[in-house]
Amino acid sequence: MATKKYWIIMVAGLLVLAAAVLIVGLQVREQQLAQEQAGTIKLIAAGQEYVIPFSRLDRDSFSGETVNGKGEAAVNEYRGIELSALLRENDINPDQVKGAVATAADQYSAEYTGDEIREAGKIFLVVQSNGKQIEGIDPGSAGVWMIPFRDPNGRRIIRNPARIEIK
Amino acid sequence: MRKTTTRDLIFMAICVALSLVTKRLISPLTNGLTDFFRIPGGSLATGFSLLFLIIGKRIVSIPFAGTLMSIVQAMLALALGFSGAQGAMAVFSYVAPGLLIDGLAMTLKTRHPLYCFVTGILACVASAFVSNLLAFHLTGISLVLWLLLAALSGAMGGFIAHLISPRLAKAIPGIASKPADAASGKGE
Repeated sequence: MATKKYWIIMVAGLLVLAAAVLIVGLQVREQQLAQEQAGTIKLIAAGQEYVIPFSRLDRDSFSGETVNGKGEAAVNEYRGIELSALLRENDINPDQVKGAVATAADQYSAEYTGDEIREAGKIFLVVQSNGKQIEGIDPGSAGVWMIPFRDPNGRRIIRNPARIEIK
Repeated sequence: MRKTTTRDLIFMAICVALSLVTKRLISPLTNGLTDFFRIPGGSLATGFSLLFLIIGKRIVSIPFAGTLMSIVQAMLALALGFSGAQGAMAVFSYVAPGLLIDGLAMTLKTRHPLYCFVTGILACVASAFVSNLLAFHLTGISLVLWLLLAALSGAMGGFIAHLISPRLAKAIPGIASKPADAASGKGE
């Protein structure tokens, strides 16, 4: 009798948890789909394509130095994610990466070496700069910049990369 | 207190190995579901992995068996590159469930019929919580779903452990301290 009682507790527990997962899961999916419509980046590695919504890039706060076309250096506060962390999150080992090419919607592209990807604090995807949302291609929409910090100029900053190909 | 034998240690090592392999095997399946919900994979596979540690603890009822197995598992995961997004910090997400498995064994006792089920849920939620703290940084409703999936996975794993452990205890009499109790599933 006691065993039957425990069986009922366990099966009921499983059913309640499954129902809760389904209800909350569908809500999260709906929310995430709405965010994905707001913007995504394609990450391509070893023949696999990962679609990363901008919302998953809003991870850490950090500061970084960039140099503009006139050679003026500026240190700003950002929110975003380091490229190596994004790779790890998608089960791509940065230690085995030879390089990456980021391409914007207008086909402007920049190349980054494997050593740069592995270098701590070097290559980031940023969604906020000094507390302001990075602007996307459409006015008022959310955007992302790919920034190699401490570069001698801003030529390799990709504004709103559409795809990042990992070699 | 019963003396620890080599057979105990071998059985615990098998549980650790099965736990690691199961997670790798089951991850592609569970990732399908977590991808559907648009959250990182991992939490749903953990329960099926932890069930072997719970079985190990329930059958080899020696103190700190759960912690010992989880430390060995963490070391193996690091050595084999199974640490995923968490890197070396993955040690904490492996050891946290081990501590809970032992902690609950002290309070609930391993022979309690709900030990596997409750331990599965709590150990999985603890592991998911630590992973989130170290790597995923989910917040709000996504974090709730992440922990709920961990709880569901832990409940399923715990349920399976509850079904399997009495049969194993009977099959390997040299290891289990009290196979008759474990087999009967009767509480303290």
